[in-house]
Amino acid sequence: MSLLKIDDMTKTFGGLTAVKNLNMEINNHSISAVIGPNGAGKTTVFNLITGVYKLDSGDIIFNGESIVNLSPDEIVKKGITRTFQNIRLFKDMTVLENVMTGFHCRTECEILDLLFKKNKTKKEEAEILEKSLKLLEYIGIYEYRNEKSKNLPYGHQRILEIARALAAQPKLLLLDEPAAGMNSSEKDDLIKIIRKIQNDYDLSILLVEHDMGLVMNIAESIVVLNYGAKIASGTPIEVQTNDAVIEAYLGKGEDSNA
Amino acid sequence: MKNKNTINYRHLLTISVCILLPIVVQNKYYLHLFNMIGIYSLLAIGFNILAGYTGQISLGQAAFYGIGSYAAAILHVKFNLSIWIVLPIAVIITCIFGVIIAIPALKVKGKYLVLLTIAFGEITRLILLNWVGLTKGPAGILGIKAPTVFGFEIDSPMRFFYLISGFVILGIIIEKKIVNSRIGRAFIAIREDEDAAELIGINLKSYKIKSFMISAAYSAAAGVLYAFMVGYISPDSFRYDESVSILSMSIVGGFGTIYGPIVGSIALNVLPEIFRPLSEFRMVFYGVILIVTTMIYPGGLLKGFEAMLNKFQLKRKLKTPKNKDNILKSNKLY
Repeated sequence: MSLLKIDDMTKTFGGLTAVKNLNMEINNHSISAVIGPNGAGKTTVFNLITGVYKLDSGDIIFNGESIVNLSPDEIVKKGITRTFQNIRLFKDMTVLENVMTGFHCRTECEILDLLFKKNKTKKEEAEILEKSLKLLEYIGIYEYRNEKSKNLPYGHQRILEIARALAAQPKLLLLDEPAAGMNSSEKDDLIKIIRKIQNDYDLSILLVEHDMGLVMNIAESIVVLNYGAKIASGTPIEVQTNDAVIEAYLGKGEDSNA
Repeated sequence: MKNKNTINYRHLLTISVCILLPIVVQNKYYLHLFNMIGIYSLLAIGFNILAGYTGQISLGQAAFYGIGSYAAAILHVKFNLSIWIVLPIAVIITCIFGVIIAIPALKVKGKYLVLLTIAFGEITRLILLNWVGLTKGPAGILGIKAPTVFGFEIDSPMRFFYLISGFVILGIIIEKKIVNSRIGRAFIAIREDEDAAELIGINLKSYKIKSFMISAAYSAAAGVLYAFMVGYISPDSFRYDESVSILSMSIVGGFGTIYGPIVGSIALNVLPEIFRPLSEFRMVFYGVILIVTTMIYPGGLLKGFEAMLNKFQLKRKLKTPKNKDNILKSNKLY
Protein backbone atom coordinates (compact mmCIF):
# COMPACT_ATOMS: atom_id res chain seq x y z
CA MET A 1 0.00 0.00 0.00
CA SER A 2 1.36 3.39 -0.89
CA LEU A 3 1.83 6.09 1.71
CA LEU A 4 0.07 8.79 -0.28
CA LYS A 5 -2.18 8.29 -3.28
CA ILE A 6 -3.56 11.20 -5.24
CA ASP A 7 -6.53 10.04 -7.24
CA ASP A 8 -7.73 12.01 -10.26
CA MET A 9 -7.40 15.31 -8.42
CA THR A 10 -8.71 18.52 -9.99
CA LYS A 11 -8.69 22.08 -8.65
CA THR A 12 -9.90 25.15 -10.46
CA PHE A 13 -9.88 28.78 -9.37
CA GLY A 14 -12.63 30.52 -11.27
CA GLY A 15 -11.78 29.94 -14.90
CA LEU A 16 -8.27 28.69 -14.27
CA THR A 17 -7.61 24.97 -13.90
CA ALA A 18 -4.65 24.84 -11.55
CA VAL A 19 -4.48 21.05 -11.25
CA LYS A 20 -6.06 18.73 -13.77
CA ASN A 21 -6.86 15.06 -13.11
CA LEU A 22 -3.64 14.43 -11.28
CA ASN A 23 -2.71 10.86 -10.40
CA MET A 24 0.31 10.26 -8.23
CA GLU A 25 1.59 7.78 -5.71
CA ILE A 26 4.25 8.07 -3.05
CA ASN A 27 5.70 5.03 -1.36
CA ASN A 28 7.05 4.58 2.13
CA HIS A 29 10.62 5.65 2.76
CA SER A 30 10.99 7.40 -0.57
CA ILE A 31 12.20 10.75 -1.79
CA SER A 32 10.10 12.05 -4.66
CA ALA A 33 9.92 15.35 -6.43
CA VAL A 34 7.37 17.38 -8.31
CA ILE A 35 8.87 19.64 -10.93
CA GLY A 36 7.59 21.84 -13.68
CA PRO A 37 7.77 25.37 -15.02
CA ASN A 38 6.51 28.24 -12.87
CA GLY A 39 2.76 28.22 -12.61
CA ALA A 40 2.53 24.51 -13.33
CA GLY A 41 0.54 23.92 -10.15
CA LYS A 42 3.20 22.43 -7.90
CA THR A 43 2.55 24.54 -4.79
CA THR A 44 -1.18 24.12 -5.41
CA VAL A 45 -0.67 20.37 -5.13
CA PHE A 46 1.01 20.93 -1.76
CA ASN A 47 -1.80 23.19 -0.65
CA LEU A 48 -4.34 20.55 -1.64
CA ILE A 49 -2.50 17.78 0.20
CA THR A 50 -2.15 19.86 3.37
CA GLY A 51 -5.78 20.89 3.39
CA VAL A 52 -5.33 24.58 2.60
CA TYR A 53 -7.48 24.17 -0.49
CA LYS A 54 -10.43 21.87 -0.98
CA LEU A 55 -10.40 19.61 -4.01
CA ASP A 56 -12.98 20.13 -6.70
CA SER A 57 -12.91 16.46 -7.54
CA GLY A 58 -10.81 13.40 -6.87
CA ASP A 59 -9.35 12.06 -3.67
CA ILE A 60 -6.21 12.04 -1.59
CA ILE A 61 -5.59 8.90 0.40
CA PHE A 62 -2.96 8.90 3.11
CA ASN A 63 -2.15 5.67 4.92
CA GLY A 64 -5.33 4.15 3.62
CA GLU A 65 -7.72 6.92 4.58
CA SER A 66 -9.07 9.86 2.65
CA ILE A 67 -7.89 13.18 4.04
CA VAL A 68 -9.79 15.58 1.79
CA ASN A 69 -12.33 16.59 4.40
CA LEU A 70 -9.86 17.21 7.20
CA SER A 71 -8.70 20.62 8.39
CA PRO A 72 -5.00 21.49 8.01
CA ASP A 73 -4.21 20.90 11.67
CA GLU A 74 -5.94 17.51 11.58
CA ILE A 75 -3.84 16.56 8.55
CA VAL A 76 -0.70 17.47 10.47
CA LYS A 77 -1.78 15.15 13.26
CA LYS A 78 -2.28 12.40 10.69
CA GLY A 79 1.35 12.80 9.74
CA ILE A 80 1.91 15.31 6.92
CA THR A 81 3.90 18.50 7.49
CA ARG A 82 5.46 21.01 5.16
CA THR A 83 7.86 23.85 4.67
CA PHE A 84 7.09 26.93 2.60
CA GLN A 85 8.34 28.52 -0.57
CA ASN A 86 8.69 31.87 1.22
CA ILE A 87 9.94 31.02 4.68
CA ARG A 88 7.20 31.22 7.29
CA LEU A 89 8.90 30.96 10.62
CA PHE A 90 7.49 32.46 13.81
CA LYS A 91 9.73 35.47 13.60
CA ASP A 92 9.51 36.80 17.11
CA MET A 93 10.27 33.41 18.63
CA THR A 94 13.73 32.05 19.11
CA VAL A 95 15.06 29.14 17.06
CA LEU A 96 14.41 26.83 19.99
CA GLU A 97 10.87 28.10 20.52
CA ASN A 98 10.04 27.58 16.85
CA VAL A 99 11.02 23.93 17.12
CA MET A 100 9.23 23.51 20.44
CA THR A 101 6.09 24.80 18.75
CA GLY A 102 6.54 22.05 16.18
CA PHE A 103 5.94 19.52 18.96
CA HIS A 104 2.60 21.09 19.79
CA CYS A 105 0.38 18.54 18.13
CA ARG A 106 2.25 15.64 19.75
CA THR A 107 1.70 16.93 23.27
CA GLU A 108 -1.38 17.61 25.27
CA CYS A 109 -1.14 19.82 28.36
CA GLU A 110 -3.98 22.30 28.47
CA ILE A 111 -4.93 25.20 30.75
CA LEU A 112 -6.40 23.02 33.48
CA ASP A 113 -3.25 20.87 33.51
CA LEU A 114 -1.18 24.04 33.74
CA LEU A 115 -3.07 25.25 36.79
CA PHE A 116 -3.74 22.04 38.66
CA LYS A 117 -1.38 19.34 37.43
CA LYS A 118 2.01 20.85 37.92
CA ASN A 119 3.97 17.64 37.69
CA LYS A 120 2.40 16.50 34.45
CA THR A 121 3.01 19.92 32.90
CA LYS A 122 6.57 20.15 34.13
CA LYS A 123 7.38 16.71 32.79
CA GLU A 124 5.87 17.37 29.39
CA GLU A 125 7.61 20.74 29.04
CA ALA A 126 10.94 19.17 29.97
CA GLU A 127 10.38 16.48 27.34
CA ILE A 128 9.56 19.04 24.69
CA LEU A 129 12.65 21.03 25.61
CA GLU A 130 14.92 18.02 25.49
CA LYS A 131 13.52 16.72 22.21
CA SER A 132 13.81 20.17 20.65
CA LEU A 133 17.42 20.57 21.72
CA LYS A 134 18.24 17.13 20.34
CA LEU A 135 16.55 17.95 17.06
CA LEU A 136 18.46 21.23 16.76
CA GLU A 137 21.71 19.43 17.45
CA TYR A 138 20.80 16.71 14.94
CA ILE A 139 20.08 19.17 12.18
CA GLY A 140 23.08 21.34 12.98
CA ILE A 141 21.81 24.67 14.29
CA TYR A 142 22.09 24.07 18.01
CA GLU A 143 24.41 27.05 18.49
CA TYR A 144 21.67 29.42 17.30
CA ARG A 145 19.05 28.04 19.66
CA ASN A 146 18.47 31.28 21.63
CA GLU A 147 18.61 33.63 18.67
CA LYS A 148 15.45 35.20 17.37
CA SER A 149 14.65 33.23 14.27
CA LYS A 150 14.40 36.38 12.17
CA ASN A 151 18.08 37.07 12.88
CA LEU A 152 19.29 33.82 11.40
CA PRO A 153 21.09 33.77 8.07
CA TYR A 154 18.77 32.79 5.25
CA GLY A 155 20.07 29.27 4.71
CA HIS A 156 19.75 28.48 8.41
CA GLN A 157 16.19 29.79 8.43
CA ARG A 158 15.30 27.21 5.81
CA ILE A 159 16.94 24.48 7.87
CA LEU A 160 15.04 25.67 10.93
CA GLU A 161 11.77 25.41 9.04
CA ILE A 162 12.62 21.81 8.24
CA ALA A 163 13.46 21.15 11.89
CA ARG A 164 10.13 22.62 12.97
CA ALA A 165 8.30 20.44 10.46
CA LEU A 166 10.22 17.38 11.70
CA ALA A 167 9.23 18.11 15.28
CA ALA A 168 5.63 17.29 14.41
CA GLN A 169 6.75 13.72 13.66
CA PRO A 170 5.51 13.46 10.07
CA LYS A 171 5.28 10.34 7.98
CA LEU A 172 5.33 12.54 4.91
CA LEU A 173 7.40 15.70 4.77
CA LEU A 174 6.65 18.18 2.02
CA LEU A 175 9.47 20.56 1.16
CA ASP A 176 8.43 23.50 -0.99
CA GLU A 177 11.49 24.79 -2.85
CA PRO A 178 13.84 24.16 0.07
CA ALA A 179 16.86 25.27 -1.94
CA ALA A 180 15.44 28.57 -3.15
CA GLY A 181 17.88 31.38 -2.59
CA MET A 182 20.68 29.13 -1.39
CA ASN A 183 24.23 29.22 -2.66
CA SER A 184 25.94 26.02 -3.75
CA SER A 185 27.57 25.20 -0.42
CA GLU A 186 24.24 25.69 1.37
CA LYS A 187 22.64 23.40 -1.22
CA ASP A 188 25.25 20.73 -0.53
CA ASP A 189 24.43 20.96 3.17
CA LEU A 190 20.75 20.71 2.31
CA ILE A 191 21.28 17.55 0.28
CA LYS A 192 23.22 16.02 3.17
CA ILE A 193 20.47 16.93 5.62
CA ILE A 194 17.68 15.56 3.43
CA ARG A 195 19.55 12.30 2.96
CA LYS A 196 20.27 12.12 6.68
CA ILE A 197 16.61 12.68 7.59
CA GLN A 198 15.41 10.12 5.11
CA ASN A 199 17.89 7.65 6.51
CA ASP A 200 17.25 8.18 10.23
CA TYR A 201 13.54 8.85 10.31
CA ASP A 202 10.71 6.62 9.19
CA LEU A 203 9.24 8.98 6.62
CA SER A 204 8.94 9.92 2.97
CA ILE A 205 9.91 13.23 1.48
CA LEU A 206 8.19 15.01 -1.38
CA LEU A 207 9.99 18.02 -2.83
CA VAL A 208 8.97 20.81 -5.09
CA GLU A 209 12.14 22.18 -6.53
CA HIS A 210 13.49 24.20 -9.44
CA ASP A 211 17.11 23.31 -8.99
CA MET A 212 17.45 20.41 -11.42
CA GLY A 213 20.84 19.40 -10.14
CA LEU A 214 19.46 18.94 -6.66
CA VAL A 215 16.35 17.13 -7.84
CA MET A 216 18.18 14.73 -10.09
CA ASN A 217 20.63 14.12 -7.26
CA ILE A 218 18.26 13.08 -4.50
CA ALA A 219 14.89 12.21 -5.99
CA GLU A 220 14.14 8.57 -6.64
CA SER A 221 11.05 9.34 -8.65
CA ILE A 222 9.86 12.53 -10.27
CA VAL A 223 6.51 13.81 -11.46
CA VAL A 224 6.52 16.59 -14.02
CA LEU A 225 3.63 19.04 -14.18
CA ASN A 226 2.82 21.57 -16.84
CA TYR A 227 -0.29 23.75 -16.83
CA GLY A 228 -1.70 21.65 -14.02
CA ALA A 229 -1.42 18.30 -15.75
CA LYS A 230 1.08 15.52 -15.33
CA ILE A 231 3.13 15.26 -18.48
CA ALA A 232 5.69 12.70 -17.37
CA SER A 233 6.82 10.66 -14.42
CA GLY A 234 9.56 8.22 -13.62
CA THR A 235 13.15 8.05 -12.51
CA PRO A 236 15.43 11.08 -12.96
CA ILE A 237 16.99 9.59 -16.08
CA GLU A 238 13.65 8.79 -17.69
CA VAL A 239 12.35 12.27 -16.99
CA GLN A 240 15.49 14.04 -18.17
CA THR A 241 15.27 12.47 -21.61
CA ASN A 242 11.50 12.81 -22.00
CA ASP A 243 10.56 14.96 -24.98
CA ALA A 244 7.45 16.44 -23.43
CA VAL A 245 9.46 17.55 -20.41
CA ILE A 246 12.17 19.13 -22.50
CA GLU A 247 9.55 20.95 -24.51
CA ALA A 248 7.77 22.20 -21.42
CA TYR A 249 10.94 23.75 -20.05
CA LEU A 250 12.69 24.83 -23.21
CA GLY A 251 9.89 25.13 -25.71
CA LYS A 252 9.81 23.74 -29.24
CA GLY A 253 13.00 24.43 -31.13
CA GLU A 254 12.89 25.99 -34.63
CA ASP A 255 14.21 22.92 -36.32
CA SER A 256 12.23 20.51 -34.19
CA ASN A 257 10.51 17.85 -36.22
CA ALA A 258 8.84 16.10 -33.26
CA MET B 1 19.70 23.73 39.88
CA LYS B 2 18.29 27.18 40.22
CA ASN B 3 14.65 26.99 39.32
CA LYS B 4 12.99 30.18 38.23
CA ASN B 5 9.98 29.31 40.34
CA THR B 6 11.85 29.33 43.64
CA ILE B 7 11.62 32.50 45.68
CA ASN B 8 14.43 34.89 44.90
CA TYR B 9 15.32 38.45 45.70
CA ARG B 10 12.94 39.86 43.11
CA HIS B 11 10.00 38.09 44.66
CA LEU B 12 11.04 39.23 48.14
CA LEU B 13 11.38 42.78 46.91
CA THR B 14 7.94 42.73 45.34
CA ILE B 15 6.33 41.25 48.42
CA SER B 16 8.08 43.75 50.69
CA VAL B 17 6.92 46.65 48.59
CA CYS B 18 3.38 45.33 48.61
CA ILE B 19 3.36 44.91 52.37
CA LEU B 20 5.04 48.20 53.20
CA LEU B 21 3.51 50.51 50.64
CA PRO B 22 0.14 51.15 52.34
CA ILE B 23 1.92 51.62 55.65
CA VAL B 24 4.31 54.16 54.22
CA VAL B 25 1.72 55.89 52.10
CA GLN B 26 -1.20 56.60 54.38
CA ASN B 27 -2.91 59.02 52.02
CA LYS B 28 -6.25 57.47 51.07
CA TYR B 29 -6.34 59.18 47.71
CA TYR B 30 -3.03 57.66 46.67
CA LEU B 31 -4.00 54.27 48.03
CA HIS B 32 -7.16 54.38 45.97
CA LEU B 33 -4.98 55.23 42.98
CA PHE B 34 -2.78 52.22 43.66
CA ASN B 35 -5.86 50.06 43.91
CA MET B 36 -7.08 51.25 40.54
CA ILE B 37 -3.60 50.54 39.18
CA GLY B 38 -4.02 47.00 40.44
CA ILE B 39 -7.44 46.62 38.85
CA TYR B 40 -6.23 48.03 35.55
CA SER B 41 -3.23 45.71 35.72
CA LEU B 42 -5.57 42.73 35.69
CA LEU B 43 -7.54 44.21 32.82
CA ALA B 44 -4.36 44.94 30.91
CA ILE B 45 -3.04 41.41 31.45
CA GLY B 46 -6.31 40.05 30.09
CA PHE B 47 -6.05 42.27 27.03
CA ASN B 48 -2.38 41.47 26.63
CA ILE B 49 -2.95 37.74 26.46
CA LEU B 50 -5.63 38.13 23.83
CA ALA B 51 -4.02 40.87 21.77
CA GLY B 52 -0.36 41.01 22.70
CA TYR B 53 0.25 37.28 22.64
CA THR B 54 -2.49 35.86 20.41
CA GLY B 55 -2.75 38.84 18.11
CA GLN B 56 -6.52 39.26 18.43
CA ILE B 57 -6.93 43.00 18.90
CA SER B 58 -10.04 43.58 20.94
CA LEU B 59 -11.52 46.96 21.76
CA GLY B 60 -14.35 45.43 23.72
CA GLN B 61 -12.63 44.51 26.98
CA ALA B 62 -14.92 46.87 28.91
CA ALA B 63 -17.70 44.41 28.12
CA PHE B 64 -16.00 41.61 30.04
CA TYR B 65 -15.10 44.05 32.81
CA GLY B 66 -18.75 45.10 33.04
CA ILE B 67 -20.25 41.63 32.78
CA GLY B 68 -17.97 40.36 35.56
CA SER B 69 -18.74 43.36 37.70
CA TYR B 70 -22.50 43.23 37.22
CA ALA B 71 -22.73 39.46 37.61
CA ALA B 72 -20.99 39.68 40.97
CA ALA B 73 -22.92 42.75 42.11
CA ILE B 74 -26.32 41.35 41.17
CA LEU B 75 -25.69 37.99 42.82
CA HIS B 76 -24.26 39.65 45.92
CA VAL B 77 -27.06 42.16 46.37
CA LYS B 78 -29.92 39.78 45.48
CA PHE B 79 -28.76 36.69 47.35
CA ASN B 80 -26.36 38.15 49.86
CA LEU B 81 -23.53 35.90 48.68
CA SER B 82 -19.96 36.63 49.69
CA ILE B 83 -17.29 37.72 47.26
CA TRP B 84 -15.70 34.28 47.38
CA ILE B 85 -18.83 32.72 45.93
CA VAL B 86 -19.76 35.40 43.42
CA LEU B 87 -16.21 35.75 42.11
CA PRO B 88 -15.91 32.29 40.52
CA ILE B 89 -19.49 32.46 39.27
CA ALA B 90 -18.90 35.88 37.70
CA VAL B 91 -15.70 34.62 36.10
CA ILE B 92 -17.49 31.60 34.63
CA ILE B 93 -20.37 33.72 33.33
CA THR B 94 -17.92 36.14 31.70
CA CYS B 95 -15.95 33.26 30.18
CA ILE B 96 -19.15 32.06 28.57
CA PHE B 97 -19.51 35.49 27.02
CA GLY B 98 -15.88 35.20 25.99
CA VAL B 99 -16.82 32.12 23.98
CA ILE B 100 -19.90 33.88 22.61
CA ILE B 101 -17.84 36.70 21.15
CA ALA B 102 -15.00 34.41 20.15
CA ILE B 103 -17.13 32.43 17.73
CA PRO B 104 -17.92 35.25 15.30
CA ALA B 105 -14.42 36.62 15.99
CA LEU B 106 -12.98 33.45 14.46
CA LYS B 107 -14.27 34.53 11.10
CA VAL B 108 -12.71 37.98 10.96
CA LYS B 109 -9.25 39.44 11.20
CA GLY B 110 -7.49 42.74 11.72
CA LYS B 111 -9.62 45.84 11.46
CA TYR B 112 -12.83 43.85 11.13
CA LEU B 113 -12.08 42.05 14.37
CA VAL B 114 -11.58 45.41 16.04
CA LEU B 115 -14.95 46.59 14.73
CA LEU B 116 -16.63 43.41 15.92
CA THR B 117 -15.24 43.82 19.43
CA ILE B 118 -16.18 47.50 19.55
CA ALA B 119 -19.71 46.44 18.66
CA PHE B 120 -19.67 43.77 21.35
CA GLY B 121 -18.53 46.35 23.90
CA GLU B 122 -21.23 48.81 22.95
CA ILE B 123 -24.00 46.22 22.81
CA THR B 124 -23.03 45.02 26.28
CA ARG B 125 -23.05 48.53 27.66
CA LEU B 126 -26.44 49.22 26.13
CA ILE B 127 -27.88 46.03 27.60
CA LEU B 128 -26.50 46.95 31.03
CA LEU B 129 -28.05 50.39 30.61
CA ASN B 130 -31.45 49.31 29.37
CA TRP B 131 -32.24 45.98 31.01
CA VAL B 132 -33.49 47.84 34.03
CA GLY B 133 -35.15 44.81 35.54
CA LEU B 134 -31.82 43.02 35.87
CA THR B 135 -29.28 45.80 36.26
CA LYS B 136 -31.32 48.73 37.57
CA GLY B 137 -30.26 50.61 34.43
CA PRO B 138 -28.59 54.00 34.70
CA ALA B 139 -29.17 54.08 38.44
CA GLY B 140 -26.63 51.34 38.88
CA ILE B 141 -26.32 48.89 41.71
CA LEU B 142 -25.77 50.18 45.23
CA GLY B 143 -25.00 48.58 48.49
CA ILE B 144 -22.21 46.21 47.63
CA LYS B 145 -20.84 45.41 51.04
CA ALA B 146 -17.24 45.13 52.11
CA PRO B 147 -15.90 41.61 51.65
CA THR B 148 -14.34 39.54 54.39
CA VAL B 149 -11.02 37.74 54.10
CA PHE B 150 -9.97 35.31 56.82
CA GLY B 151 -12.21 37.16 59.22
CA PHE B 152 -10.88 40.60 58.31
CA GLU B 153 -13.38 43.01 56.90
CA ILE B 154 -11.93 44.74 53.87
CA ASP B 155 -13.33 48.20 54.38
CA SER B 156 -10.44 50.59 53.83
CA PRO B 157 -8.22 51.45 50.85
CA MET B 158 -5.28 49.98 52.71
CA ARG B 159 -6.98 46.61 53.16
CA PHE B 160 -8.18 46.62 49.59
CA PHE B 161 -4.60 47.26 48.56
CA TYR B 162 -3.56 43.96 50.14
CA LEU B 163 -6.48 42.12 48.61
CA ILE B 164 -5.90 43.53 45.14
CA SER B 165 -2.13 43.02 45.31
CA GLY B 166 -2.78 39.39 46.09
CA PHE B 167 -4.92 39.08 42.99
CA VAL B 168 -2.41 40.91 40.80
CA ILE B 169 0.43 38.69 41.99
CA LEU B 170 -1.69 35.60 41.35
CA GLY B 171 -2.62 37.05 37.96
CA ILE B 172 1.01 37.45 37.01
CA ILE B 173 1.93 33.97 38.20
CA ILE B 174 -0.81 32.49 36.05
CA GLU B 175 0.09 34.71 33.10
CA LYS B 176 3.68 33.57 33.34
CA LYS B 177 2.65 29.93 33.43
CA ILE B 178 0.46 30.35 30.38
CA VAL B 179 2.96 32.34 28.35
CA ASN B 180 5.84 29.97 29.02
CA SER B 181 3.85 26.89 28.14
CA ARG B 182 2.77 25.04 25.06
CA ILE B 183 -0.40 27.12 25.13
CA GLY B 184 1.60 30.33 25.14
CA ARG B 185 3.62 29.14 22.18
CA ALA B 186 0.43 28.31 20.32
CA PHE B 187 -0.88 31.83 21.04
CA ILE B 188 2.31 33.45 19.79
CA ALA B 189 2.37 31.23 16.71
CA ILE B 190 -1.16 32.37 15.89
CA ARG B 191 -0.08 35.99 16.26
CA GLU B 192 3.06 35.55 14.19
CA ASP B 193 1.59 33.55 11.31
CA GLU B 194 -1.84 32.06 11.67
CA ASP B 195 -1.68 29.90 8.59
CA ALA B 196 1.74 28.50 9.41
CA ALA B 197 0.46 27.81 12.92
CA GLU B 198 -2.41 25.78 11.52
CA LEU B 199 -0.03 23.92 9.24
CA ILE B 200 2.15 22.89 12.17
CA GLY B 201 -0.84 21.33 13.90
CA ILE B 202 -2.39 24.11 15.97
CA ASN B 203 -6.19 24.23 15.95
CA LEU B 204 -6.89 27.92 15.43
CA LYS B 205 -10.51 27.88 16.53
CA SER B 206 -9.76 26.09 19.76
CA TYR B 207 -6.90 28.35 20.77
CA LYS B 208 -8.53 31.61 19.80
CA ILE B 209 -11.52 30.65 21.93
CA LYS B 210 -9.22 29.78 24.82
CA SER B 211 -7.50 33.13 24.48
CA PHE B 212 -10.81 34.98 24.62
CA MET B 213 -11.83 32.97 27.66
CA ILE B 214 -8.64 33.73 29.56
CA SER B 215 -8.96 37.39 28.67
CA ALA B 216 -12.56 37.36 29.88
CA ALA B 217 -11.56 35.69 33.14
CA TYR B 218 -8.97 38.34 34.01
CA SER B 219 -11.36 41.15 33.12
CA ALA B 220 -14.12 39.59 35.16
CA ALA B 221 -11.88 39.30 38.21
CA ALA B 222 -10.99 42.97 37.82
CA GLY B 223 -14.68 43.79 37.54
CA VAL B 224 -15.56 41.90 40.69
CA LEU B 225 -12.80 43.61 42.69
CA TYR B 226 -13.90 46.97 41.34
CA ALA B 227 -17.52 46.39 42.34
CA PHE B 228 -16.62 45.44 45.91
CA MET B 229 -14.07 48.19 46.26
CA VAL B 230 -16.23 51.05 45.14
CA GLY B 231 -19.44 49.59 46.54
CA TYR B 232 -21.48 50.89 43.62
CA ILE B 233 -21.39 50.25 39.87
CA SER B 234 -23.18 51.74 36.90
CA PRO B 235 -22.95 51.28 33.14
CA ASP B 236 -20.91 54.48 33.07
CA SER B 237 -17.85 52.66 34.34
CA PHE B 238 -17.83 50.30 31.38
CA ARG B 239 -17.80 52.58 28.38
CA TYR B 240 -15.75 52.28 25.22
CA ASP B 241 -13.09 54.64 26.54
CA GLU B 242 -12.28 52.08 29.22
CA SER B 243 -11.45 49.60 26.49
CA VAL B 244 -9.20 52.20 24.90
CA SER B 245 -7.47 52.90 28.22
CA ILE B 246 -6.85 49.20 28.69
CA LEU B 247 -5.39 48.91 25.22
CA SER B 248 -3.19 51.95 25.79
CA MET B 249 -1.83 50.60 29.04
CA SER B 250 -1.01 47.28 27.49
CA ILE B 251 0.73 48.84 24.49
CA VAL B 252 2.62 51.54 26.37
CA GLY B 253 3.77 49.11 29.02
CA GLY B 254 5.01 46.54 26.57
CA PHE B 255 2.82 44.69 24.13
CA GLY B 256 3.24 40.95 24.37
CA THR B 257 5.38 40.98 27.52
CA ILE B 258 4.58 39.55 30.92
CA TYR B 259 5.09 42.67 33.03
CA GLY B 260 4.12 45.20 30.37
CA PRO B 261 0.53 45.46 31.59
CA ILE B 262 1.72 46.38 35.09
CA VAL B 263 4.16 48.97 33.82
CA GLY B 264 1.54 50.41 31.52
CA SER B 265 -1.07 50.52 34.21
CA ILE B 266 1.28 52.33 36.55
CA ALA B 267 2.43 54.73 33.85
CA LEU B 268 -1.00 55.68 32.57
CA ASN B 269 -2.60 56.03 35.98
CA VAL B 270 0.21 57.96 37.59
CA LEU B 271 0.83 60.31 34.71
CA PRO B 272 -2.49 62.20 34.85
CA GLU B 273 -1.87 62.64 38.58
CA ILE B 274 1.61 64.03 38.06
CA PHE B 275 0.19 66.52 35.64
CA ARG B 276 -2.58 67.61 37.99
CA PRO B 277 -0.87 70.97 38.73
CA LEU B 278 -1.33 71.76 35.08
CA SER B 279 -5.11 71.64 35.64
CA GLU B 280 -6.89 72.01 32.34
CA PHE B 281 -3.77 71.14 30.33
CA ARG B 282 -3.01 67.90 32.09
CA MET B 283 -4.77 65.66 29.60
CA VAL B 284 -2.96 67.46 26.78
CA PHE B 285 0.36 66.56 28.31
CA TYR B 286 -0.90 63.06 28.98
CA GLY B 287 -1.77 62.68 25.33
CA VAL B 288 1.56 64.06 24.20
CA ILE B 289 3.47 61.65 26.44
CA LEU B 290 1.37 58.80 25.11
CA ILE B 291 2.13 59.70 21.51
CA VAL B 292 5.83 60.29 22.10
CA THR B 293 6.24 57.04 24.02
CA THR B 294 4.66 54.98 21.30
CA MET B 295 6.76 56.75 18.70
CA ILE B 296 10.03 56.05 20.47
CA TYR B 297 9.09 52.61 21.79
CA PRO B 298 6.47 51.24 19.39
CA GLY B 299 6.36 47.97 21.25
CA GLY B 300 5.95 49.68 24.58
CA LEU B 301 8.36 50.53 27.36
CA LEU B 302 9.35 46.99 28.25
CA LYS B 303 10.08 46.07 24.66
CA GLY B 304 12.21 49.20 24.41
CA PHE B 305 14.17 48.17 27.45
CA GLU B 306 14.48 44.57 26.28
CA ALA B 307 18.25 44.49 26.42
CA MET B 308 18.27 45.74 29.96
CA LEU B 309 15.63 43.24 30.92
CA ASN B 310 17.62 40.33 29.60
CA LYS B 311 20.25 41.25 32.11
CA PHE B 312 17.79 41.06 34.97
CA GLN B 313 16.16 37.97 33.50
CA LEU B 314 12.71 39.47 33.44
CA LYS B 315 12.05 38.22 29.93
CA ARG B 316 11.03 34.71 29.16
CA LYS B 317 14.14 32.73 28.37
CA LEU B 318 14.78 29.05 28.53
CA LYS B 319 17.87 27.81 30.27
CA THR B 320 19.68 25.46 27.93
CA PRO B 321 23.05 23.80 28.34
CA LYS B 322 25.98 25.27 26.44
CA ASN B 323 27.77 21.99 26.15
CA LYS B 324 25.62 20.00 23.80
CA ASP B 325 27.33 16.70 24.38
CA ASN B 326 25.58 16.58 27.71
CA ILE B 327 22.13 16.52 26.21
CA LEU B 328 22.92 13.74 23.84
CA LYS B 329 24.42 11.52 26.51
CA SER B 330 22.15 12.09 29.42
CA ASN B 331 18.58 11.04 29.97
CA LYS B 332 18.07 13.89 32.35
CA LEU B 333 15.12 16.13 31.69
CA TYR B 334 15.90 19.81 32.12
